[in-house]
Amino acid sequence: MYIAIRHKLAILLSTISAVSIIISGFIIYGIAKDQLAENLDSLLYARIAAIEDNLTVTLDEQLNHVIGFAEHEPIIPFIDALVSAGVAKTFLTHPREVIAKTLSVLTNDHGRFRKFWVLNAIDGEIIASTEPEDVGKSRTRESYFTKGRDAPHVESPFLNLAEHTPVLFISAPILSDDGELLAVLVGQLDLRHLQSALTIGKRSYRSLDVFLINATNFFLTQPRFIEDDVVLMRQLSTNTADLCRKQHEGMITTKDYRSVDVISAFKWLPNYEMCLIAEIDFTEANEPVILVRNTVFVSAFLGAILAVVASSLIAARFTRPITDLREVADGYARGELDRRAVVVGRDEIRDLANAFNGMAEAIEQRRKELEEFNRRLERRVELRTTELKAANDELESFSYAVSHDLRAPLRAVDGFSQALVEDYGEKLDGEARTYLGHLREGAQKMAHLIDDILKLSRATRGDLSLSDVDVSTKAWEILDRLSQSEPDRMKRFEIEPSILVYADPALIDVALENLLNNAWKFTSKSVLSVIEVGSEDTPEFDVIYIKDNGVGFDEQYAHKMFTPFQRLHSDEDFEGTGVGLSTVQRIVRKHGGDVWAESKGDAGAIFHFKLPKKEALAYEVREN
Amino acid sequence: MLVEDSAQDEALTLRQLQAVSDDTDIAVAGDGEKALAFILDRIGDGEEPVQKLPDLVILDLKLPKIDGHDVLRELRANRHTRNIPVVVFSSSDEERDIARSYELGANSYVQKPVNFEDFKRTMATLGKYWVSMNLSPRS
Repeated sequence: MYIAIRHKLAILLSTISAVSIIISGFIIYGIAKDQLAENLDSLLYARIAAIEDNLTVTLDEQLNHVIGFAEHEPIIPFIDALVSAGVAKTFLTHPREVIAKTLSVLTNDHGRFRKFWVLNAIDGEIIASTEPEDVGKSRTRESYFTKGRDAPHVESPFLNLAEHTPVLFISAPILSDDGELLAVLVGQLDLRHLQSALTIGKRSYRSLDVFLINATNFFLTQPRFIEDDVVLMRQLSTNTADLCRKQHEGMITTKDYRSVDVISAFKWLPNYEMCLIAEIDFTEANEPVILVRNTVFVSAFLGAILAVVASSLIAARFTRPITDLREVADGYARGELDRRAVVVGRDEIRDLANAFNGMAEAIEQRRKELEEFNRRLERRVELRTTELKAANDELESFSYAVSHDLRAPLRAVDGFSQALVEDYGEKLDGEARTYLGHLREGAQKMAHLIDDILKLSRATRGDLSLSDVDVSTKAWEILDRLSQSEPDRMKRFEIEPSILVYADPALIDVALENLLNNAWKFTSKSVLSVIEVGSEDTPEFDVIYIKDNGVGFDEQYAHKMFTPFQRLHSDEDFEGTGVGLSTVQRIVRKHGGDVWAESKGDAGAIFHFKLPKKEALAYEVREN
Repeated sequence: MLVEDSAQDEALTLRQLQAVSDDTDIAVAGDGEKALAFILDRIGDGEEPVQKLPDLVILDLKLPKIDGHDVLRELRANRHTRNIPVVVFSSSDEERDIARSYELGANSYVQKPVNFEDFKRTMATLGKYWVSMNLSPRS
């Protein structure tokens, strides 16, 4: 599949940048998440610590109030009086009223105590109270009595069923001036006041819920998300409640009393046997994380898109020289040879552009050289053509002159010699007649020479008009004519049928005529003239041979046979001008072939000539 | 009329023509210019020729000044001489000479044989045909 470098580069850059952006996003998100969780943890711990302090301060304050009153010197004599009086004496109302009045400071609107009792240290009988009707009742077995006799004591909270109020007893011993235990002061603290101790600091979380439970998991304060009053009436049954008694301090993510996911921090307060619990809805706690996550992911997404766009632009800019170069190369290929690449930058693309320009210059150089060479060649061809044409013209006018002018004098010699014999025959003796005969013979021979020379020059004049030529038929025609000229001769002709060549028919006629004439001539002294015409097949040429059983020739001089006017036999033996074979050679060579001869002395001669095959010529023509 | 530059050829031709019919009146011109002058002289300036025009022109091709083909062209261009039979009688057997002659309107083309025996036969035939047998248009 074809993918442009620009796209590959864009994809690569986009992938790298987008992936790194997304990975960075994940890392940032992870760090932020941890940081936020840590922040939340410390915040919750800090809140719990602050509340614990506040709670301790509040409770200690109340304890101190109780202790303060227990050691309040002005009321000691009254208590002493009441204790000394023995069993509750209803008549001793004054001391009781003084004591109740003093204690009522802590039970009125400013105080948080519901009521105070003063118990006789010996039998636990209420000898004085802020509630007069309680006087006379006995609290002998209560732990706030037993423990309160020894030291100040804070009792576990419990529910005052009668009044449906959660309460907490704080007790302290009352000693006489001598340090003798007189009585126990017991204050009943309204637990609802603790609620306010829990709500300190800024409400930084909407869902922050702080409450207390006791050692048996009963709620000591009202949790935020329960409408009904549950204090000391319902137990908390969550993981936090269990863990608080085991671990005393910690933070977990769990389900709260609503079955809502919360982050729950807890701390056990051993002094009061209470567990302080602060909870935040997980949803809210997680809000900053979600916000960070969304912000980071949206930023990463936008960043990735930006990276893709930027990568595409960078890739396009980066590959621009390549596409430019390709455009230039295309233009060059279309023939706009003056196109050159723009060389910019300092990199491989600049090298490529330089290399391209170098190549273009080199091609241009070669092209110019070639053009110059062609021009020179054309000029030379033109010159040669002119020369050739001049030579041809000369030859032409020579032939023309020969055909007109050389014949006329011969005709005169021959004509007047004959006229002399005819008109003055009786005046001429035998010798004169013989001389006149020689004169005429000479003229005749000269005439033959002229005819043959003209044939020779015509053989190579003009253009070839090629067609299929049946050599066998032509050979038969020529041999028929020859045998008719000397019907008495014994002869045998062996001609291979249907020898076809691709040549100029008129010229082939002349060549065959010459060769067969020779064969006929040189077999004239044989008893039986045997003339054979056949062919040989070679890949590129049609080879024709003409074989005779005539006198043959001396092979030593074979090469001379084809030179004009060269003869290997005397005129006495065989007449001839010595032009025939050179005519044959010219014709065959004009066709692109050749002619050669062999002879084995008396065994006759064999003449071969070869002509290019039609296919070879057709191929050559296509080549040109 | 015979147009022939070679004195030898002229002598041989006349000898053989007279051998065929010796009562024929034969005018001879040595070159093309003389031949045309002879004929134009006889035509004159009037409607009709002043003197009788030749019945036959035997024309050599290679002539000094104006050659045979040009003479032939002139003859064919003139209305008086347009129909005079012309036999081209040349040593040449060149194809182009023959073709050109017929193109210009020659009535016959005969090669002058070099061999005198052949020459005699040719002249006998030529004379018998063109002088004795052939009828030329009368002007």
